[in-house]
Amino acid sequence: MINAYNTSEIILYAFAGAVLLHTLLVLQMGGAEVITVSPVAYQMAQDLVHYRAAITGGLIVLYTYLRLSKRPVAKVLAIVSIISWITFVEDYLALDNIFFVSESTTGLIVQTLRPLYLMSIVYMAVEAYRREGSHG
Amino acid sequence: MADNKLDERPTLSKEELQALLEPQILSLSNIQEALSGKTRLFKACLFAATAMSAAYLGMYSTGLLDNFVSHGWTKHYGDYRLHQIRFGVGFLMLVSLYVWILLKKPLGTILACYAGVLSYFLVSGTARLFVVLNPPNDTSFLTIYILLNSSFVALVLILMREDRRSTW
Repeated sequence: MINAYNTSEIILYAFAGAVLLHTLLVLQMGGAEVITVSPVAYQMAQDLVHYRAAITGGLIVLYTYLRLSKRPVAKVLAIVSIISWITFVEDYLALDNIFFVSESTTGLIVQTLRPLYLMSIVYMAVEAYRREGSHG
Repeated sequence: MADNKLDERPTLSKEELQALLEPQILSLSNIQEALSGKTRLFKACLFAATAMSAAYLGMYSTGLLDNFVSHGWTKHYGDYRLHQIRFGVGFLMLVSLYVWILLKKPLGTILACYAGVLSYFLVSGTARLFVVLNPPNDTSFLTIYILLNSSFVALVLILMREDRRSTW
């Protein structure tokens, strides 16, 4: 049976997949190496490439592992959600929304899924705390 | 008969009644009392983290740090804004930690979140410096940067461990 938590989980995996795909495409374009060649690539390569995908991907792999092994996930979800919100603020205020590149379809998908993902991850963290009954 | 039963019920004292009626958010005790249940190492780490954060923020607001952050190397406005946001987040983290301590709330989740955020800052900051600096020529600066940032993460992890050992 699909409930709100499962739906949020689907959104989370869809977003993570889109971010990874987008990152790989950016790297294929030349990543940080093309900084001096193209200003668009500069903006894109500036912050989103390697480490964000690595951190988000790593945490989501950890979440998946904990979920499959039926261990508590609330803390991991809280960490993922706070980092996601901070990266969102950074993108929005400092990096001129680098995900939004009109030529890039994957960038558009990431941009579209992002608000949904941000709401879903917070909901998942709150729901996980409720289910696990711990507030520490 | 019923009146007698009501009379026999233990009554609350004025202080007890006041404590029950007082909203939780307003019952901020002083910091000494709030820290009385914590271990010595917790207090030492909290002091170290506070002193380091205050020094960091002070140096940042006076402009002393400008030449040592990526904005100083690149002169890119995005880097400058990024630092502003990260220092703001750092300040908020410090304030909210003290509020949580004063409210005597469990610190496990908040400290775990801090450790995650600081690790993100460390990894992303180092990656950015790798791009803007020439690592083989600036190993010492990069090492100091990594050590400083890692010490914050280490302090938060020790605080987490000590919080579990504390009485509240």
